[in-house]
Amino acid sequence: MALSRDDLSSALEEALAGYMALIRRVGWQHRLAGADLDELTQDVRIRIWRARGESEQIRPVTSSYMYRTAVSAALDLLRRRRAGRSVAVEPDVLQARADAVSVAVGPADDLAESELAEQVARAVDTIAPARRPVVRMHLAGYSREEIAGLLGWTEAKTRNLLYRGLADLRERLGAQGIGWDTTPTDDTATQDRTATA
Amino acid sequence: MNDEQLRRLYQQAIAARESRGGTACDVSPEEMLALAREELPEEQRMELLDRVMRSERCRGEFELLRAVVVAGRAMGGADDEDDGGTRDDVVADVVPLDPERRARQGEARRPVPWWRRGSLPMALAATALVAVGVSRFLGDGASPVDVTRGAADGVSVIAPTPATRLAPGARPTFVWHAVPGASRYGFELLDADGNLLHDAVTADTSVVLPPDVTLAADTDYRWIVRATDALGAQLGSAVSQIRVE
Repeated sequence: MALSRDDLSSALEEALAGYMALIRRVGWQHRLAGADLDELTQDVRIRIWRARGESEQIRPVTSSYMYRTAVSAALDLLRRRRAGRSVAVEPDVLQARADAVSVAVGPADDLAESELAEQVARAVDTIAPARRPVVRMHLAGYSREEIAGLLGWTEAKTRNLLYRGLADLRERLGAQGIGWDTTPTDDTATQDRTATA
Repeated sequence: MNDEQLRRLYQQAIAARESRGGTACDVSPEEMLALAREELPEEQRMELLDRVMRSERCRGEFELLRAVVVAGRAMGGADDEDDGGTRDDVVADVVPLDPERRARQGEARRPVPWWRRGSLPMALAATALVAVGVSRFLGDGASPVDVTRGAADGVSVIAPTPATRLAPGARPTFVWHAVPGASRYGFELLDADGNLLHDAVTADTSVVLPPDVTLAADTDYRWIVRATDALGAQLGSAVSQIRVE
């Protein structure tokens, strides 16, 4: 018996909703763009629809099948962007992001802050490779727990290398006349550091 | 300049560099996927993460793949390509690892007991319960829990992190990693004095704060998650702190 478009759509959305909601929950904390997720959702939807055209086939889509489809769709999405066939993050968007994180109030402040920001980034570039990724992730907003998870390290090792990496950074900024007084607090929260420029 | 300002400056510089076309993402999608799936040896992981994190565009791509992988694990879809598993029959975190890393995690990531990390008054009350649960999770022969990966680590939380700053009245979603063998999770939100504000039991790996719980400004809160397996053995998370500005 032929199934209506609504039947198919309902079955597919049912299969997709839970998984994509999980992806959104994981992605939101690291500024994953909503447009990325919308595009991925649409790609996964189309793939499943094409591969399993009947709602009886779509309804029992397993989590394993959904996962594999999403991985494949995400890889293709990134490849398309790199090939220039889709709109990725454009320079003006990136400039808008740079502006968004800036709190400078005038042209002079803006220039001074941009120079200071570049000094910080250059200093990070020169940190020892064994410590640099930890510092980059910390400055990008990752928690120590996430850093430890991504690197497969214990929290103690992560804390130690982050501490050393930030000490390296302080030394380099200090060499440029940017004094930075490190004051670790407890071992559970993000380390609070104060600095004077 | 404090830590938050330093982060802001760094992120501003990274974005500005990219807007000038100065930083290219030179990590392939396939390498990013392997990184997200934790399949690579440490040296390669470090090198790739450094390259990923120096570009906002690259980091965004990596986060997309990582979200797919983490969500796949949470729903059990990343367990086995042929298992046909569903959310109800398995809650696991077993994206394939390189053997060296799997062995290392068994040793290096054995946890500091969670009740010794925090300072909550309720930690003492929970100690006996969790201690029993930990011993069972760690393999006394009575529990079916798979301790090959993750279970011995306790429940690992994802969000909100201690760095998260919430607005008064926010309704955050609390998210944690699945624990192999867990059949349900108990969630508790407490105020700074250890008073219980909200609790929930779920088979999911997240809880949304309901509208009837209001987070006040200038206040610290703490939350914990306990995983329970089919035989009732429990394992707790570390105590996580959040701050409402």
